[in-house]
Amino acid sequence: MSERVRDTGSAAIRERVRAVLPQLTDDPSTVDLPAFRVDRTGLLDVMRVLRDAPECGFQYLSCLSGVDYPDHLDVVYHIFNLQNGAGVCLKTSAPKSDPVLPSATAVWPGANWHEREVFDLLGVRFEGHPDLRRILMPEGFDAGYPLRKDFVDSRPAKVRLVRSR
Amino acid sequence: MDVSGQDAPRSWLGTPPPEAEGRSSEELPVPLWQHLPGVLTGNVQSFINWARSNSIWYMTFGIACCAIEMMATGASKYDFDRFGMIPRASPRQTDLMIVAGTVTEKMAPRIKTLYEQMAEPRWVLALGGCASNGGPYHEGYNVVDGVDKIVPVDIYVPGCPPRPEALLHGVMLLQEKVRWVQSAEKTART
Repeated sequence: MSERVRDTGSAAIRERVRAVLPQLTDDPSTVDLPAFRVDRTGLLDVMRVLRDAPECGFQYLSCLSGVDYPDHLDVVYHIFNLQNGAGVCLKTSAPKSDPVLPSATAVWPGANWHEREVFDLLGVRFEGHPDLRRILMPEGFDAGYPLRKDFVDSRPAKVRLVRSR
Repeated sequence: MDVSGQDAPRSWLGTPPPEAEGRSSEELPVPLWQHLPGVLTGNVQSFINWARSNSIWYMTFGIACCAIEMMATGASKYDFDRFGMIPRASPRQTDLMIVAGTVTEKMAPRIKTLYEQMAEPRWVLALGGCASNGGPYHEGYNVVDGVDKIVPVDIYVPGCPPRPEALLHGVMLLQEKVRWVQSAEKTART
C-alpha cells in the first residue's frame, strides 16, 4: 500500500467514489458517512468497484441491515477501508412485491449471516447466497417476517407453545 | 412466620406446621431437645430436608441480562455460597435451575431438555419479569410468556432485573419450601 489515501474527510471520500462510480446518486438522509444510493440491478458491480478500486478499497463490510418502509425494503451496507479508516454507506432498495437482491457474499463473505438475518426478519431474498436459512427464529417458524411493520402474529398461543416444545 | 422471635412455637427446624395455626403454644408438643440439651430428635425426612435446603446447587445457566445479577449474587459481595449454593455446569448435578432471562421460542426446547436432565428433586426459580411472564416482551413474536409455560416454577422473583437481594430472598423462600417437603413422593413431578 504505497499510495495510501490519507484524506478521509467526507467530501474527499465522496469525490473519490464519484470519480470511479459516477452513476451513484447521493443520499442526503445519512449524515455521519458519505451515503450513496444504487439501483439493485447494478449492485454487485458497484460493490466490486468499491472494494477493488485503489481510490476506494473498502474491503471491510462492517454492517448490513434492512429497513422496512411503507412501500419498499431498503438494505444498507456500511463499508470501510481499514488502511485509512474511510467509510461509506451504500443503500439499495427492493419493492415489497419482489424483495430480491443480489447477495453480497460474493464480494464480502462476511455478509453471510447478516443477509440471513435480514432474510429472517424482513423477508429479503438474496440471490446467490450460499445458505439462505432462518438464523434467529425457530426453524419451524412460518408466520411471516416479524420485523415488518405489518406483521401480525396470527398464531394462537397454543400453537406457539406446542411449536416451542 | 412469626418474625418477632418472642414465644414463637418452633419445631427443631423450620416453622410450625400449618395445622398449628390457631392453636396456642401450650397445646403444641414441646420438642424433645428442650428437655435433653445436646440431643437432636426428628424424623428422617426433616434431616433430609435440612440437608437439601442448605445445599441447593444451581445450574450455571443464564439466558439474558438477569444472569448478570445472578453472577453478582454468586460473587463475593452477596455470596451465594453461604447458603451452600454452588454453581454446577451439568444439569445432572444440580437441584435448582435459575431461569435468568428471556425465554425465546427457540430456546424453550433447550430449557425443557435441561430441566428434564436434572435429577429429582429439582426446583425452578424464575428470575425477573421475562422468565415470570414475558415481562417487557410479553406476547412478543419470539418470546414465551413465562418459563412456567414449559416447566413448573417454584419461586417467581419479580424485577427487571431483580437486585441480588431479591434473588437471595427468593432463594430463602425456596429453602422454606424445601424444608416443608413431607415425603419424597411429593417432590416427584413431571
